[in-house]
Order: sequence, then C-alpha cells, then structure tokens
Amino acid sequence: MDSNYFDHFGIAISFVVDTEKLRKQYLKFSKLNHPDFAAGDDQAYENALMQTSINNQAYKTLSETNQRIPYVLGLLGHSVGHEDKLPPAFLMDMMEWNERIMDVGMSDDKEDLNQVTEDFEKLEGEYETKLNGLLERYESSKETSLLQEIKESYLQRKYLLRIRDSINKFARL
Amino acid sequence: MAYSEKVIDHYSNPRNIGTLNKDENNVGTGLVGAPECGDVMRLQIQVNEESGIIEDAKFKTFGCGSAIASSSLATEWLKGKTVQEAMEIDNMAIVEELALPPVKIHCSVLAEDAIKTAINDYRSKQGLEAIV
Repeated sequence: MDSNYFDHFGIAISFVVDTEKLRKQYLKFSKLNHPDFAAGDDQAYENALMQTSINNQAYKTLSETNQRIPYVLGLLGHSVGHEDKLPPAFLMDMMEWNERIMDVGMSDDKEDLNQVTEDFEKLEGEYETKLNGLLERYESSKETSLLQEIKESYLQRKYLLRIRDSINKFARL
Repeated sequence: MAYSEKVIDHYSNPRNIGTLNKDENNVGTGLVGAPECGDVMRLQIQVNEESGIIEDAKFKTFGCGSAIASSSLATEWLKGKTVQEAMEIDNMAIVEELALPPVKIHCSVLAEDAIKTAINDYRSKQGLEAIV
C-alpha cells in the first residue's frame, strides 16, 4: 500500500509536477490494472477495481494545481483549514474587486466589462507569478519557512478564482 | 442540494444591504472571508453610544445563497440588541433558523465571525478591549 499519491506514481513529493510524465504513468497503471483483464476471478477483479479507483484519484489530485497544492501542504504538515485567515487588507481588496465587477456586470456596458476584465487579468498574472515563484523557490531550497507563504498565496488564489467565475458569468450574459 | 424556503427568502429579498460610514466612531466593521470558496462578507453595526444598543446594521456579501442569507439574518437579529447581547449570537442559531445543511455550516460561522469582528472594531474605537 502506497503511503501517498506521489509514492503511487513513484515520484518524489513536489509542488511542481511534470504533467506529461504523470499522464503516461497514469495510463500505464490504468492498463495494467484494468478490471476487464481480471474477469472471472472475483478476488483479482475486486483488487483491480480498487487499484483503478486509487489510480484515478491519485492522478486527479496531482494533475490539478488546485488540488495538488493543498495536498502537498498537507503532506508537509501545513494542512489548509477553516481557521486559516487572510489579512484584512487583502479581503478589502477582494471586496472592492467584487463590487466593481458587480457594478459593471449589472450596468450592461460591454466596454466597462472589458476594461475590468483586462485589469483583473493583470492582477491574476501577478498572483500567478508570485505563487509559481514561491513554489520554485521551495523546490530548489526546501526552505520550510516558505510553506506558510505558499499556503497564503494558494488561499489568495481561491478568492481570485471566485472573482474570475463572476466575470465569466457576466461575460456570457 | 435544495435551499430551505428561509434561505431563498433572504437571498431573493435580502434585508439591510448597504454600507455604513466606517470612519464613524460608533460604527463597527467586520470584514471576513472564507478561503475554501472565496466568499467575502462585510457586516457593519451602528451603536448608540449612550445605551449601547445597536441601532442599525448593514451587510454586503459576495458568496453563495447560504452566506448571503446568514449575513442578512444576522443584521436582522442585531438591530435592537445591546452589544453584549449581540456577542452571544451563536452560529448554530443561524443554522437552525435557516435550516442549513452540514456542508453550509461554515457560512453561518462566517456570519458569526463577522459579527464578532464588527463588535470588536467598535469596541477598539471606544477604547475598550476586544472580547473573544
């Protein structure tokens, strides 16, 4: 039994993953444990089903950035939880973005919406660069003091994703 | 998952949406967020400094129906209460009133956090210690 999803694929725990390699390994295991090959043998069939399910879950967790980051943080003893709070200044900023997008979205002015979207994309880019920089710095130094910053940066990203959702909703109207 | 009638009522007809002047000495502002869903909630109270009674309460929430309903209900409950009484509002009372399912309990926790943060903001403006 593997102790974590990285073990499952035979790779070292890391925030940064070669998704192409991961996909190949995933497909290899999928084939290897395909339940169809175990038809007729109940025990082997059950086992193949279980392996397939673990393989799917492992791939999903490690291939999606949004799932991989909190997963790795958990493995490294920095689980993300409800008690994690972000500084008021950041929340204030997010409140203002939400308000601005709501106003523009309701006003039906396509040009305004395009402007806000453009401004917001800039912000998304900044946060993305910051997070990726932290992840790379951690991977090359394994400096544990960076983990708290990574967690904060990951949580900030969640707020941005939500704002992105509402922009997309208004854009479709 | 279906929302309860009370949630839908608050969601489609939210009470006390708006803003109070955060620079006023008798206004307390609570700004809180739920990282797991990216919700942000701002709840404000206006206190009568002589009686200690909350005369007005406003909120603005960007979040799901349950988060909006929780904060809308909270502002309704806050009005007419003393700051001391308001401190005792418990998230489970919100859960019961709105019949929130377990996966939405964190929305009521967010509302309770917002109330407490607003009260402590008011208290700090009055030169009083924060209460936990």
